Amino acid sequence: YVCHMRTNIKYSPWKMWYIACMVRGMTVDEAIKQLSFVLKKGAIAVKETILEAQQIAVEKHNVEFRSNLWVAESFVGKGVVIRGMRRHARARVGKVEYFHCHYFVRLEEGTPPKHYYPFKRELTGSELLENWLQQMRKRKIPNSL
Amino acid sequence: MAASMLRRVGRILKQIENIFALAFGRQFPPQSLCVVAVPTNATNKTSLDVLDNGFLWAVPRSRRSVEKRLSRKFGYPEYVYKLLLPKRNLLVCNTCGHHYEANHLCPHCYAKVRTETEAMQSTIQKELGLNPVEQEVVVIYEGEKVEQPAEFWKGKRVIEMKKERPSWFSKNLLEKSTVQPSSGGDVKPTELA
Repeated sequence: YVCHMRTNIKYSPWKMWYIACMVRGMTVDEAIKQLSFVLKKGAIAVKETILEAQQIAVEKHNVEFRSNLWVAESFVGKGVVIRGMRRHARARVGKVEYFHCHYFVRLEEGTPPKHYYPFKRELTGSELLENWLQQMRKRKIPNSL
Repeated sequence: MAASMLRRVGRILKQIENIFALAFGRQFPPQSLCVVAVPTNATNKTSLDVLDNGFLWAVPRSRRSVEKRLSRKFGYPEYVYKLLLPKRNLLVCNTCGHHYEANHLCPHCYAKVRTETEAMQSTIQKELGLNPVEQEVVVIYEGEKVEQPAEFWKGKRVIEMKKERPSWFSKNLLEKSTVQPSSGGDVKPTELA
């Protein structure tokens, strides 16, 4: 696998988290395609990071096909915070914080798994039936024997 | 004359008062020597006006439950879902090969057209300046002026671009189609598999 990061992106880490979440489990081409249509500032940095990571994978890590990669991990960390003050009316003071974030990505070779989050997959018929039976059997008349 | 004298006297008296105030830090005349009681805290700022204005200093009353926190973070799928969903309406442009959103213009092709339009606009502005436009403005590329006789360009303001005509920019923009209307009754299938 290939790890890459970009530090101190001038963007809030909490807002960047949404973009990082969207990209998880996608193929690299699909991730780049989707990120070009995300109307957020952080999407530009994330797209550039993934492209750089793809390039590093091909040049240094002996990856044969640059499209045969998928995003295994994609997360955000808090970077530098520049603090300051601003004035309001009536002698009141406001706190100003300029957040930066680090973006980390890990690309793996091969096809991505069908479900990145195992709890999110669609349950099969037999599993659904089992769940329904359990629900039905859990029922009880309260304060009964 | 008398008025100016009076004004000068008034100014001198004010200056004396200021000096007294600076020297003693109290009002003039001092409290003990006053014949009439004068309110002291007329202009004193013992308490901050800010704190007395009756503002409610907002503070959280109880800890936010995990359900509230999660609904702020993720939203609701039926109403406002805060997670970003991948777009399913992305297609590939036939002319340039880049992706574009369905029912929108291809951004790559549009950028190409936009740069050309901006170049045309700057040449028009350079040549015509701020003169009022009374005649038709025609923009032509290299080698196209010769194709028409001189009388064709008579009543028009001709702007010559020092470039070759781009391949995607056709000369014939007013004719909708070159295909002749057919007289036969058969209909050809458009996309043969």
